[in-house]
Amino acid sequence: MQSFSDQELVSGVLQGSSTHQTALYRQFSVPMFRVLLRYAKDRAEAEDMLQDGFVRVYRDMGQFRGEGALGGWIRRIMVNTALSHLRKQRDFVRDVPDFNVFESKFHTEEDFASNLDAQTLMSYLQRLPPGYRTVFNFYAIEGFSHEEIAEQLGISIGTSKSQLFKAREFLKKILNKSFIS
Amino acid sequence: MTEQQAQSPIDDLFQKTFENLPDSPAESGWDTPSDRVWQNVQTNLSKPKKGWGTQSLVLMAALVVTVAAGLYWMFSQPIKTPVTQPVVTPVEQPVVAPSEPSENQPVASPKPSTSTGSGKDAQSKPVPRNSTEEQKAKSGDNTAQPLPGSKPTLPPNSTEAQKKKGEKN
Repeated sequence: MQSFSDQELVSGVLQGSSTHQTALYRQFSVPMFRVLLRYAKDRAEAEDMLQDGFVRVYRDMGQFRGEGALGGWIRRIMVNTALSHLRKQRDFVRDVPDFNVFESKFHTEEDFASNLDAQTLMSYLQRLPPGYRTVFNFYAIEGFSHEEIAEQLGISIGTSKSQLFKAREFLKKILNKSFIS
Repeated sequence: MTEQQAQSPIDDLFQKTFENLPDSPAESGWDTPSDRVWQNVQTNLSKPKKGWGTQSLVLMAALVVTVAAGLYWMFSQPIKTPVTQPVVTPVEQPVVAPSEPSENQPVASPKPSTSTGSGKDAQSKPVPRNSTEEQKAKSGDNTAQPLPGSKPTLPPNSTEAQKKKGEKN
């Protein structure tokens, strides 16, 4: 596979070159899919987000100023696309008081026995309610502050803190169960 | 993102695991999207744009503004009629003819009113057509005024004429 620099990819895509469009997708589809898997509830939803995200990337390529890495710019578009998808779900940031992560979430006992690799942790994240998952992603992995999360999601800072606390509690339970088994 | 955040061990576990992923996709394929995604992206890329693009809208707006400005300019100009040079002919001395009342001028009373009112007012006051005074003039109700220096003639049946008749008799 021919590799291109960021600048070459940008100018090629802007000129409508299908070679550059394909190269851009091949270069960034996997890392961006990993990001989106953390925000989505399953693989199918992550693929929908990825598709919409790449369409936006090609459409808005002219807005890339070259001030940072192309990958960072694409990642921001992907996260924004994920947020757009999540916002369509009514009250996606809400408390789930009776939520039980162990209830019909793990398909087999082998899930617990598996090592804590990225795929396993991803599956744990995807079992959280969308609000918990999104706030945990923003805070713990992306490194946003509660103020920034509140602004991004249109919620209060208190809600952001509460959602993070509950996400951690549920993940702790899952991990404890995993270690015990 | 800049401020120091309180990280829990769980946060660290997830963060480090996802940051240290290898560049190459996993053999199991869990982090590789299906081919359907790229096919759909390509389909979207080859789709013609729906409706009006931003550029088209801007061009259309500019055209409308230009046409409107042109129309405004066109109608705000005074209408120019072809100017014909007047033929200059030697002008003879105009013969001063007795002025007749033109149609536009107010019709003056045939004679100054002798009744009430100052003479100046009566002379300058135009008599409108079909007015009572004009109708009087038409019906011959006005009596002839004596010329200056002549004896005033009395109407034959007036009281003064009968008195004079009686004196003569």
